[in-house]
Amino acid sequence: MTTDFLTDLGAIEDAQALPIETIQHRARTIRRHRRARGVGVVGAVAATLVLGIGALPGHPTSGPDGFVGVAQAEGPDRCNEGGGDGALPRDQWSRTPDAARLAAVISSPDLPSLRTAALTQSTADCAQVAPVAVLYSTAPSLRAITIWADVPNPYEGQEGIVDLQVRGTSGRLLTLSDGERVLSWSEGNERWYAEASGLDDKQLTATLNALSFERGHVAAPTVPRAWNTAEVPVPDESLTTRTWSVTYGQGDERIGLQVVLASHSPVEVASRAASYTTLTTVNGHVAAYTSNGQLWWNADGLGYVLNGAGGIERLTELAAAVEHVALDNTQIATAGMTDDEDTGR
Amino acid sequence: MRRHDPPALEFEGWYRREFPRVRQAMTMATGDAGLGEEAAAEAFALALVHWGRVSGMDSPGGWVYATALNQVRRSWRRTALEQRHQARTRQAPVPPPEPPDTALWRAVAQLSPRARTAIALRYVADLPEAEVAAAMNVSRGTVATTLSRARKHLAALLEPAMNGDRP
Repeated sequence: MTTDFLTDLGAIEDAQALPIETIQHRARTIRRHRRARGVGVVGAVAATLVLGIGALPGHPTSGPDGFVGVAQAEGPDRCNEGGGDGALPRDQWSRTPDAARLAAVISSPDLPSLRTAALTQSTADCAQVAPVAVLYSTAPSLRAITIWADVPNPYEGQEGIVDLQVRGTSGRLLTLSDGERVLSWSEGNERWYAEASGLDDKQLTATLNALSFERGHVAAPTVPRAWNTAEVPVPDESLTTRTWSVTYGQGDERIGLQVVLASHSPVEVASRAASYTTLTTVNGHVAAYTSNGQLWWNADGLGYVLNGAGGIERLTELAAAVEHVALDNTQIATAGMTDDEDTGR
Repeated sequence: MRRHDPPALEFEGWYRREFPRVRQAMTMATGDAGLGEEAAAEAFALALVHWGRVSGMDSPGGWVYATALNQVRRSWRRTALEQRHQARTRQAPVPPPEPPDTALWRAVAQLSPRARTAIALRYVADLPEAEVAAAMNVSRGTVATTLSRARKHLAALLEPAMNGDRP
């Protein structure tokens, strides 16, 4: 036998490609997801929604056409457009806003040497909005609610939405297959919207009914005793977001760290997938670990995401070893700039 | 045109030329026509997202094969691919083309996943060994060894057919 025999394998019997629209549609979804990751929902929450939780076993694709976050009611198309400008050349780092503040590495002897370091920039078409409240409870098990005001209901039109009484009016409730609930209602000439996980309809409406809101924030005395209020950062109004990224190792050993300006509480993750989320702390700051290997926390106005193998214990150890460094740090200077993440490696 | 889309004809022409071969190579590598098609589709969608960079590469084809392979490398991605494939085929119920039912394809299906992948990239995708190595994220020597062993294995499997013993 000669190897010529194997060249028969190169015969392509069906030369038809899938419709180009299929590829274009998927590409648009990928762009939206990556913008969400870069923009930090801005940083953290939308990124988890579409990249993290979306990849969790059993979790459904959320929302119509890949919902990536909550936008202003008057915003264009729920912020579905916009895109990344890609990695910024190193010679631009020193004059890029926030770059010096974001630059960080993981100083741990358990990691291989720094493989890549990059500063990327992305621009959204409209600003994401911060929630008015993020509530969570860890007993008897983790449950969380995130509430926004003056936003559209990104799920309207989906099959399975039912009417539900909440806060003295008729709300619109959709229960996703993993038990996450999205609830929208009108109040004070605004559309309110809540996402909740880890609790049933009765618990959700009872909690929402108890709350009072003052000047865009939940009135602390009205939060039921069983619930904690998570700190919600004030998001940057800029439509441009910079993300600092470093990676260590490759393949299943890969560890990645991203740093952005904090704009959302990591606890929001739990309001979308409580059963896949474990709350912990990193240097005293509340952090959320999701079972697909991502750890989210905020500190000193910055939002951090650490991802990789090893579970919550290893990631929290590595998170504690995150250190900010100068942009001309020798480790960074000798690291590559291209991560193979684009290729899924 | 959306502001990040490449010139439509440039990507589209490349996509139409290359997709069937990438799909067939991924079908061989995964042993599953649906997964193979979905991995190929995901890789081309990523190529479109990064077209400005990918189109300037020496081997955009090598990049798309590496990307498609990485989509199926991890079990959770495989699950995601299966879910996306099922969702898409529910919307447009056109099954992916079945792989050729030949003695050679049946023999290749008996190889290990790594050997199948190497054979698929070398002979279906027609990539040189260096690009096979890059796409599989292994050394060139590993590719040469894998291909050599696979060829011997295939020769043994196909010997009856080669001698006319197979019906």
